[in-house]
Amino acid sequence: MITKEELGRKIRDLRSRNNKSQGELGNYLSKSHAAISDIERGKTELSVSDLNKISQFFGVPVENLLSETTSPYYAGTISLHRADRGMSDMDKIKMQKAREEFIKKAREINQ
Amino acid sequence: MSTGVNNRDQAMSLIKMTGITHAPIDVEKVAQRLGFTIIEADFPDNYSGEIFIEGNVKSIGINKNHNSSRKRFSIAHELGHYLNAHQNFDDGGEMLDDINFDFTNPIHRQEKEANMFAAELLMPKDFLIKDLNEFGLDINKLKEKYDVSEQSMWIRLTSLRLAEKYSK
Repeated sequence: MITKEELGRKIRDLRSRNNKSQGELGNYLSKSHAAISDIERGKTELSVSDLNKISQFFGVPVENLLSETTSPYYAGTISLHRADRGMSDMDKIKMQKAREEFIKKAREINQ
Repeated sequence: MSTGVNNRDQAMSLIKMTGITHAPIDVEKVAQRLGFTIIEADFPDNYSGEIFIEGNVKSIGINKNHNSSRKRFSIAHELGHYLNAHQNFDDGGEMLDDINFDFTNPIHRQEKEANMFAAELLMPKDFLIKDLNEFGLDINKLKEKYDVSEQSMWIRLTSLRLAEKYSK
Protein backbone atom coordinates (compact mmCIF):
# COMPACT_ATOMS: atom_id res chain seq x y z
CA MET A 1 0.00 0.00 0.00
CA ILE A 2 1.21 3.46 -0.85
CA THR A 3 2.16 5.77 2.01
CA LYS A 4 0.73 9.26 2.57
CA GLU A 5 4.08 10.75 1.63
CA GLU A 6 4.24 8.80 -1.64
CA LEU A 7 0.68 9.72 -2.49
CA GLY A 8 1.47 13.36 -1.74
CA ARG A 9 4.49 13.29 -4.04
CA LYS A 10 2.44 11.69 -6.75
CA ILE A 11 -0.21 14.38 -6.49
CA ARG A 12 2.39 17.14 -6.55
CA ASP A 13 4.04 15.55 -9.57
CA LEU A 14 0.73 15.20 -11.41
CA ARG A 15 -0.17 18.76 -10.57
CA SER A 16 3.07 20.21 -11.87
CA ARG A 17 2.98 18.08 -15.01
CA ASN A 18 -0.49 19.41 -15.67
CA ASN A 19 0.60 22.98 -14.99
CA LYS A 20 -1.89 23.45 -12.18
CA SER A 21 -1.34 25.52 -9.06
CA GLN A 22 -2.11 24.39 -5.52
CA GLY A 23 -4.83 27.05 -5.57
CA GLU A 24 -6.48 25.54 -8.63
CA LEU A 25 -6.50 22.04 -7.19
CA GLY A 26 -7.64 23.55 -3.88
CA ASN A 27 -10.60 25.26 -5.56
CA TYR A 28 -11.68 21.98 -7.07
CA LEU A 29 -11.52 20.26 -3.68
CA SER A 30 -12.90 23.28 -1.76
CA LYS A 31 -9.66 23.48 0.20
CA SER A 32 -7.06 26.20 0.72
CA HIS A 33 -3.73 26.03 -1.06
CA ALA A 34 -2.13 25.50 2.35
CA ALA A 35 -4.28 22.39 2.79
CA ILE A 36 -3.08 21.15 -0.62
CA SER A 37 0.48 21.80 0.46
CA ASP A 38 -0.12 19.63 3.53
CA ILE A 39 -1.54 16.87 1.38
CA GLU A 40 1.46 17.00 -0.93
CA ARG A 41 3.85 16.79 2.00
CA GLY A 42 2.01 13.75 3.33
CA LYS A 43 0.70 15.54 6.43
CA THR A 44 -2.96 14.82 5.77
CA GLU A 45 -4.96 11.65 5.39
CA LEU A 46 -7.15 11.94 2.31
CA SER A 47 -10.84 11.06 2.38
CA VAL A 48 -12.31 8.78 -0.25
CA SER A 49 -14.29 11.67 -1.69
CA ASP A 50 -11.16 13.83 -1.97
CA LEU A 51 -9.34 10.98 -3.70
CA ASN A 52 -12.20 10.67 -6.14
CA LYS A 53 -12.13 14.37 -6.88
CA ILE A 54 -8.37 14.35 -7.37
CA SER A 55 -8.68 11.45 -9.78
CA GLN A 56 -11.35 13.39 -11.72
CA PHE A 57 -9.26 16.55 -11.71
CA PHE A 58 -6.31 14.83 -13.38
CA GLY A 59 -8.24 12.25 -15.37
CA VAL A 60 -6.40 9.42 -13.65
CA PRO A 61 -8.17 6.40 -12.14
CA VAL A 62 -8.15 6.27 -8.33
CA GLU A 63 -6.42 2.89 -8.36
CA ASN A 64 -3.51 4.46 -10.19
CA LEU A 65 -3.19 7.16 -7.58
CA LEU A 66 -2.97 4.44 -4.97
CA SER A 67 -0.76 1.98 -6.84
CA GLU A 68 2.90 1.81 -5.98
CA THR A 69 4.07 2.15 -9.55
CA THR A 70 7.17 4.23 -10.00
CA SER A 71 6.52 4.67 -13.68
CA PRO A 72 6.39 8.29 -14.79
CA TYR A 73 3.05 7.38 -16.28
CA TYR A 74 0.48 6.90 -13.59
CA ALA A 75 -1.48 4.93 -16.10
CA GLY A 76 -3.14 8.02 -17.35
CA THR A 77 -4.49 7.65 -20.80
CA ILE A 78 -3.57 10.06 -23.48
CA SER A 79 -5.88 10.51 -26.35
CA LEU A 80 -5.74 12.04 -29.71
CA HIS A 81 -7.73 15.16 -29.09
CA ARG A 82 -9.68 14.99 -32.26
CA ALA A 83 -12.58 13.56 -30.44
CA ASP A 84 -15.80 14.85 -29.06
CA ARG A 85 -16.57 17.94 -31.06
CA GLY A 86 -20.00 17.45 -32.47
CA MET A 87 -20.11 13.95 -31.11
CA SER A 88 -23.63 12.69 -30.64
CA ASP A 89 -24.71 11.06 -27.39
CA MET A 90 -24.73 7.73 -29.21
CA ASP A 91 -21.13 8.31 -30.27
CA LYS A 92 -20.14 9.24 -26.74
CA ILE A 93 -21.64 6.04 -25.40
CA LYS A 94 -19.98 4.06 -28.16
CA MET A 95 -16.68 5.73 -27.41
CA GLN A 96 -16.89 5.02 -23.69
CA LYS A 97 -17.69 1.39 -24.39
CA ALA A 98 -14.90 1.03 -26.93
CA ARG A 99 -12.41 2.63 -24.55
CA GLU A 100 -13.39 0.32 -21.72
CA GLU A 101 -13.04 -2.70 -23.99
CA PHE A 102 -9.69 -1.48 -25.21
CA ILE A 103 -8.33 -1.05 -21.69
CA LYS A 104 -9.69 -4.43 -20.64
CA LYS A 105 -8.02 -6.09 -23.63
CA ALA A 106 -4.76 -4.23 -22.98
CA ARG A 107 -4.69 -5.52 -19.42
CA GLU A 108 -5.46 -9.09 -20.51
CA ILE A 109 -2.84 -9.21 -23.26
CA ASN A 110 -0.12 -7.86 -21.05
CA GLN A 111 -0.82 -10.08 -18.07
CA MET B 1 10.37 21.96 -24.62
CA SER B 2 11.14 19.49 -27.33
CA THR B 3 11.92 20.73 -30.76
CA GLY B 4 11.58 19.32 -34.21
CA VAL B 5 15.23 18.38 -34.11
CA ASN B 6 14.81 16.29 -30.96
CA ASN B 7 11.84 14.58 -32.49
CA ARG B 8 13.89 14.01 -35.62
CA ASP B 9 16.85 12.49 -33.77
CA GLN B 10 14.55 10.33 -31.74
CA ALA B 11 12.64 9.13 -34.79
CA MET B 12 15.80 8.38 -36.73
CA SER B 13 17.39 6.40 -33.93
CA LEU B 14 14.19 4.40 -33.52
CA ILE B 15 14.15 3.64 -37.24
CA LYS B 16 17.76 2.48 -37.09
CA MET B 17 17.22 0.54 -33.88
CA THR B 18 14.31 -1.31 -35.48
CA GLY B 19 16.34 -2.07 -38.59
CA ILE B 20 14.02 -0.23 -40.96
CA THR B 21 15.72 0.80 -44.18
CA HIS B 22 12.91 1.91 -46.46
CA ALA B 23 9.38 3.32 -46.65
CA PRO B 24 6.69 2.58 -45.68
CA ILE B 25 8.01 2.77 -42.14
CA ASP B 26 6.84 -0.30 -40.22
CA VAL B 27 5.31 1.75 -37.41
CA GLU B 28 3.86 -1.29 -35.64
CA LYS B 29 7.32 -2.78 -35.45
CA VAL B 30 8.62 0.45 -33.95
CA ALA B 31 5.80 0.40 -31.40
CA GLN B 32 6.55 -3.21 -30.54
CA ARG B 33 10.24 -2.41 -30.16
CA LEU B 34 9.16 0.11 -27.51
CA GLY B 35 7.10 -2.56 -25.79
CA PHE B 36 3.63 -1.63 -27.04
CA THR B 37 0.90 -3.91 -28.23
CA ILE B 38 -1.45 -2.48 -30.81
CA ILE B 39 -5.13 -3.12 -30.25
CA GLU B 40 -7.82 -2.38 -32.81
CA ALA B 41 -10.85 -0.83 -31.15
CA ASP B 42 -14.31 0.06 -32.38
CA PHE B 43 -13.98 3.79 -31.67
CA PRO B 44 -16.36 6.29 -33.23
CA ASP B 45 -15.05 7.79 -36.45
CA ASN B 46 -13.64 11.00 -34.98
CA TYR B 47 -11.70 9.21 -32.26
CA SER B 48 -8.40 8.05 -33.68
CA GLY B 49 -6.57 6.39 -30.88
CA GLU B 50 -5.23 6.41 -27.39
CA ILE B 51 -2.32 5.16 -25.40
CA PHE B 52 -2.70 3.20 -22.19
CA ILE B 53 0.13 2.55 -19.79
CA GLU B 54 -0.22 0.87 -16.45
CA GLY B 55 2.71 -0.86 -14.81
CA ASN B 56 3.97 -3.33 -17.42
CA VAL B 57 0.91 -2.84 -19.58
CA LYS B 58 1.69 -0.74 -22.64
CA SER B 59 -0.89 -0.55 -25.37
CA ILE B 60 -2.01 1.71 -28.15
CA GLY B 61 -5.62 1.48 -29.22
CA ILE B 62 -6.41 2.50 -32.77
CA ASN B 63 -9.67 2.94 -34.61
CA LYS B 64 -10.24 -0.30 -36.49
CA ASN B 65 -12.54 1.43 -38.97
CA HIS B 66 -9.87 3.81 -40.23
CA ASN B 67 -7.79 3.18 -43.32
CA SER B 68 -4.18 2.09 -43.15
CA SER B 69 -2.62 5.55 -43.40
CA ARG B 70 -4.80 6.97 -40.61
CA LYS B 71 -4.06 4.00 -38.37
CA ARG B 72 -0.38 4.39 -39.00
CA PHE B 73 -0.53 8.09 -38.22
CA SER B 74 -2.44 7.39 -35.00
CA ILE B 75 0.18 4.90 -33.80
CA ALA B 76 3.00 7.32 -34.63
CA HIS B 77 1.13 10.19 -32.95
CA GLU B 78 0.61 8.19 -29.75
CA LEU B 79 4.27 7.18 -29.72
CA GLY B 80 5.02 10.89 -29.97
CA HIS B 81 3.09 11.46 -26.75
CA TYR B 82 4.94 8.64 -25.07
CA LEU B 83 8.42 9.71 -26.16
CA ASN B 84 7.78 13.33 -25.28
CA ALA B 85 6.62 12.14 -21.85
CA HIS B 86 3.23 13.79 -22.19
CA GLN B 87 0.91 13.28 -19.32
CA ASN B 88 -2.64 12.62 -18.49
CA PHE B 89 -4.56 14.76 -20.85
CA ASP B 90 -7.68 12.82 -21.27
CA ASP B 91 -10.57 13.74 -23.54
CA GLY B 92 -9.47 17.15 -24.67
CA GLY B 93 -12.85 17.62 -26.19
CA GLU B 94 -11.49 20.01 -28.72
CA MET B 95 -10.67 19.92 -32.34
CA LEU B 96 -7.25 21.29 -33.00
CA ASP B 97 -6.43 23.31 -36.01
CA ASP B 98 -4.03 26.11 -36.67
CA ILE B 99 -6.67 28.79 -36.21
CA ASN B 100 -7.37 28.10 -32.56
CA PHE B 101 -3.93 26.80 -31.71
CA ASP B 102 -2.79 28.26 -28.42
CA PHE B 103 0.81 27.62 -27.48
CA THR B 104 0.18 28.45 -23.84
CA ASN B 105 -2.28 25.59 -23.65
CA PRO B 106 -0.32 22.45 -22.73
CA ILE B 107 -2.86 20.21 -24.45
CA HIS B 108 -2.43 22.01 -27.74
CA ARG B 109 1.32 21.99 -27.37
CA GLN B 110 1.35 18.28 -26.73
CA GLU B 111 -0.85 17.51 -29.71
CA LYS B 112 1.39 19.53 -31.97
CA GLU B 113 4.52 17.84 -30.63
CA ALA B 114 2.97 14.43 -31.14
CA ASN B 115 2.09 15.32 -34.72
CA MET B 116 5.60 16.57 -35.34
CA PHE B 117 7.03 13.32 -34.08
CA ALA B 118 4.60 11.33 -36.24
CA ALA B 119 5.76 13.22 -39.33
CA GLU B 120 9.41 12.60 -38.47
CA LEU B 121 8.79 8.91 -37.96
CA LEU B 122 6.55 8.22 -40.95
CA MET B 123 8.33 10.51 -43.41
CA PRO B 124 12.01 10.72 -42.46
CA LYS B 125 13.75 13.60 -44.15
CA ASP B 126 16.67 11.54 -45.47
CA PHE B 127 14.33 8.96 -46.99
CA LEU B 128 12.27 11.67 -48.66
CA ILE B 129 15.25 13.42 -50.18
CA LYS B 130 16.50 10.14 -51.61
CA ASP B 131 13.11 9.43 -53.18
CA LEU B 132 12.70 12.99 -54.45
CA ASN B 133 16.08 12.74 -56.14
CA GLU B 134 15.05 9.46 -57.66
CA PHE B 135 11.57 10.20 -58.98
CA GLY B 136 10.90 13.87 -58.31
CA LEU B 137 7.87 15.55 -56.72
CA ASP B 138 5.30 12.88 -57.53
CA ILE B 139 2.82 13.26 -54.68
CA ASN B 140 0.79 10.18 -55.55
CA LYS B 141 3.82 7.98 -55.69
CA LEU B 142 5.16 9.45 -52.45
CA LYS B 143 1.96 9.08 -50.46
CA GLU B 144 1.61 5.47 -51.62
CA LYS B 145 5.20 4.60 -50.91
CA TYR B 146 5.07 6.07 -47.39
CA ASP B 147 1.48 4.97 -46.77
CA VAL B 148 0.42 8.39 -45.47
CA SER B 149 -2.39 10.72 -46.45
CA GLU B 150 -1.82 13.20 -49.23
CA GLN B 151 -2.37 16.01 -46.75
CA SER B 152 0.32 14.72 -44.35
CA MET B 153 2.74 14.37 -47.23
CA TRP B 154 2.13 17.92 -48.44
CA ILE B 155 2.51 19.36 -44.94
CA ARG B 156 5.73 17.45 -44.53
CA LEU B 157 7.17 18.48 -47.89
CA THR B 158 6.31 22.14 -47.41
CA SER B 159 7.55 22.32 -43.82
CA LEU B 160 10.88 20.82 -44.89
CA ARG B 161 10.89 23.25 -47.83
CA LEU B 162 11.27 20.30 -50.16
CA ALA B 163 8.12 21.05 -52.14
CA GLU B 164 9.48 24.33 -53.44
CA LYS B 165 12.93 22.88 -53.99
CA TYR B 166 11.74 19.96 -56.09
CA SER B 167 8.88 21.57 -57.96
CA LYS B 168 9.72 22.39 -61.52
